Amino acid sequence: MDSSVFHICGLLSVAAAALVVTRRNPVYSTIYLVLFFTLISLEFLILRAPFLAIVQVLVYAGAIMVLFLFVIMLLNLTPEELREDVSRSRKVLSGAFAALIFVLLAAAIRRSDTVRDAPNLVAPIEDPGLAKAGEAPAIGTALFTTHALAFEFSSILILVAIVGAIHLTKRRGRAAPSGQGAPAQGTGEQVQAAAEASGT
Amino acid sequence: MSTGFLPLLLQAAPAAASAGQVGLTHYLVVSAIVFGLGLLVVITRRNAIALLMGLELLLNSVGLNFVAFAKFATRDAVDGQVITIFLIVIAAAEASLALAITLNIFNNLNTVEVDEARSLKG
Amino acid sequence: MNGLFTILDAPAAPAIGWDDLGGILPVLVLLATGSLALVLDLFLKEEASPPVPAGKWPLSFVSLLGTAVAGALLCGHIGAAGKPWSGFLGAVQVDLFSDAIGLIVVLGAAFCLLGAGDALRRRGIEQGEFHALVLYAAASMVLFVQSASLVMVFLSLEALSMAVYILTAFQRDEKRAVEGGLKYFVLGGLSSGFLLLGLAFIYGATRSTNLTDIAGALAGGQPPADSSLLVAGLGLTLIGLAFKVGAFPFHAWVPDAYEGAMSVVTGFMAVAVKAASFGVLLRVAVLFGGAGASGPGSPEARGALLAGISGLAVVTMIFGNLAALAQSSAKRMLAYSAIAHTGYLLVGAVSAMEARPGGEQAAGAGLLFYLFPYALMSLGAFICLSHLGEGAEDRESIDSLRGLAERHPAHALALLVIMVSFAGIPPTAGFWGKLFIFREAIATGHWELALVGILTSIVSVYYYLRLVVAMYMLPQEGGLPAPSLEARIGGKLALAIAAIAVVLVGLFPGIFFQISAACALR
Repeated sequence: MDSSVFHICGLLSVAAAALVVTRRNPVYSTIYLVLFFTLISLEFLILRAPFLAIVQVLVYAGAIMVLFLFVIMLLNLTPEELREDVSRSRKVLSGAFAALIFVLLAAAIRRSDTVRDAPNLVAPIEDPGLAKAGEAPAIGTALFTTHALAFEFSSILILVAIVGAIHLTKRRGRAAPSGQGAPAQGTGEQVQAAAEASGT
Repeated sequence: MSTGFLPLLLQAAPAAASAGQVGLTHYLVVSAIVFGLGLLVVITRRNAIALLMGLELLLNSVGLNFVAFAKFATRDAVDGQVITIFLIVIAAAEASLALAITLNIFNNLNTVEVDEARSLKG
Repeated sequence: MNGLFTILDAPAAPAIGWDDLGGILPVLVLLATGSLALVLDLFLKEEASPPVPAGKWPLSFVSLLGTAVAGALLCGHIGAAGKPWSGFLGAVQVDLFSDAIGLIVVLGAAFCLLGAGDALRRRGIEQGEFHALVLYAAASMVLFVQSASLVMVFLSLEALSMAVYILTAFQRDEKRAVEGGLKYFVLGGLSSGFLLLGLAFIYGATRSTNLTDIAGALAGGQPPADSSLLVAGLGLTLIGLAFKVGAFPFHAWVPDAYEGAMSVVTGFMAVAVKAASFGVLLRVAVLFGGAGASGPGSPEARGALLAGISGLAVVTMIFGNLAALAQSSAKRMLAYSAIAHTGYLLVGAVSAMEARPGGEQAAGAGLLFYLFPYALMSLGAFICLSHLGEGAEDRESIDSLRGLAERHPAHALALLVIMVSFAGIPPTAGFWGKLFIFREAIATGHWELALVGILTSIVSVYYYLRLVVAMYMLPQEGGLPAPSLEARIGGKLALAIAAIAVVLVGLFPGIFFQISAACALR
């Protein structure tokens, strides 16, 4: 049962990722990305990581993707603005590079003893600790003991992101000191002007 | 472009075709393919939003890798899963910051193409 | 309910106490000062419409005080020659090496803040966010070097990278700044992806997230570390770190980010980000590929790391120096020269991998010594460009520096000292740094790296001296008007300290080399 679910999820998630890559319209890409995140969440479930599976859906599909869609909507880009002229040589070169990295990874995976000797997914788990490893109590305990510093420090990471996001998007309420430097333009007005220009 | 990966997939995971069993290999190969696709986006596309989606693909492939290793190759699977939780934290923070930069770029340059406005020479 | 009881029944976990907090006190001081700056800004009056010269001086004062306290704590720890200490249940490890790198990071932050007041005021963006982000970035960098678990490695790396992306784009109405910030962000995110996948493979190969346990697994744990996964993981990690330090094939973000950012921020990036990344690079290289560390699983890993780092060093030295020759902008020239210096530092990392534990040569002494004058020179040069700027512009092109010696002889002299030292002309600090690094390389049998380094250093003399020629020998024509510099105390002070320190290190290299050797990895 698990194995067939995995095969379906695995193939679908690769296909979804490929669609994210190839769609021109970012809205379509985002929708396929949501599909991809959900499929990855299913794979976490098969790997006996239920807590992670839930968090994956909540944070990725629920929060991050909404943010993406929100920004895409805010920018209100027209198809002309979205057209990318990527040269053929650049496509071929980067495709070759990505393929090279993949082949190297695959070679490392194939040669590895750990991977060869790894137990099968459907094999029963003997260790009771491992069986409960993916549930909230075990993860919570780990977060507040072994990884306590990392847990606290991630608040600094988020604080940095908040400060940065606010600083970069804040509208300028007042003009820059006169007589110096570049003219300060109201970024908000610019957005409006751009939106009008693209609308007409 | 994505079809080029399929033969590689079959070559790298011969077990996938023969047996119905799922092992560590399968997860690692899926993760490697997604990593390759994410890499492809980041180095090919110029649309800032598409680039950010590529970065999200990269982070997810790493997360899958960690959980798979935790499940199959370690005695105590908690560490790998905790790392993946932190990866999700990072992804959220990175996405918000990246979108803020994108908005700012659009306000300043009226485009979201990274290479288009070449005020900086290559 | 069942889950709840399992927690309550679990054996008492080892506790985290005040000792743990005390061990990372410098980091906490930096974080607290950053948050204080963020809050303090709310209580400061908006500046008058012609900006007053002092501006929001309490911000600069408080944040500088924070860096001074953190620096003093780190110095005290180095002076006391404390033993390596591990805290937070093995999440961090503090030793003299991390203290030394931390000191360089704090130095970079202090200089950046010293020069920033004026640079921000001229642009009308003197806000507490800047000071807070510099301090948060510095704290993350110190923690990055101290981290002893994979989780802390990537969390602190991500925090420091994000802070630096924002600082690059801090001048949010300037096209070049936000564009440089976006490019840095995208390539930085890509490099984080490589690094994270590398860490995942290392985790799979050694079955552990803790560096101490990983060292145990390498030295012959059961079952032994998986060399195939390990080599792949180390390769990916090396790519990720090579991005962060700006080594050659992964340097694409360096010129754009360095040029787009304000010059004070560029100085901070060139010094602090590089020092912290090299700290971790050296730790990884010695742990997985050091001469003494070869456990049953690691001879292949050692070979791969040695080949990878040596190759990067050679191409980086050649590319950085040749590309710097062609630049007409002083800032861009310094950016490419920063790439070249990454190459020299990589040579130091290679010889550190050859040092045997307990042998006479400590791993990375040359690299540590090199970082210190390099930090002073870069900070001095970039702060000088910022200091001489006017309005939202820094003084960036080489032509705009023409005739500087007549108008501002003291500044020209300081820049002269720094450029001569960059070029490695004896008896300056830069000369000793290169000498120690190349001597270590020859002593460990990597004479070909030393040869490439010496040849490319000779090439570098040309472009550094071009700047000197412009300042002293060419008449002024066009360019920016001479700025009045009376009110710019911070930048003046920073430049003076940097130039004097470069001279001092050049005159007494022995003392500083002894300190570096004492702080090197054991």
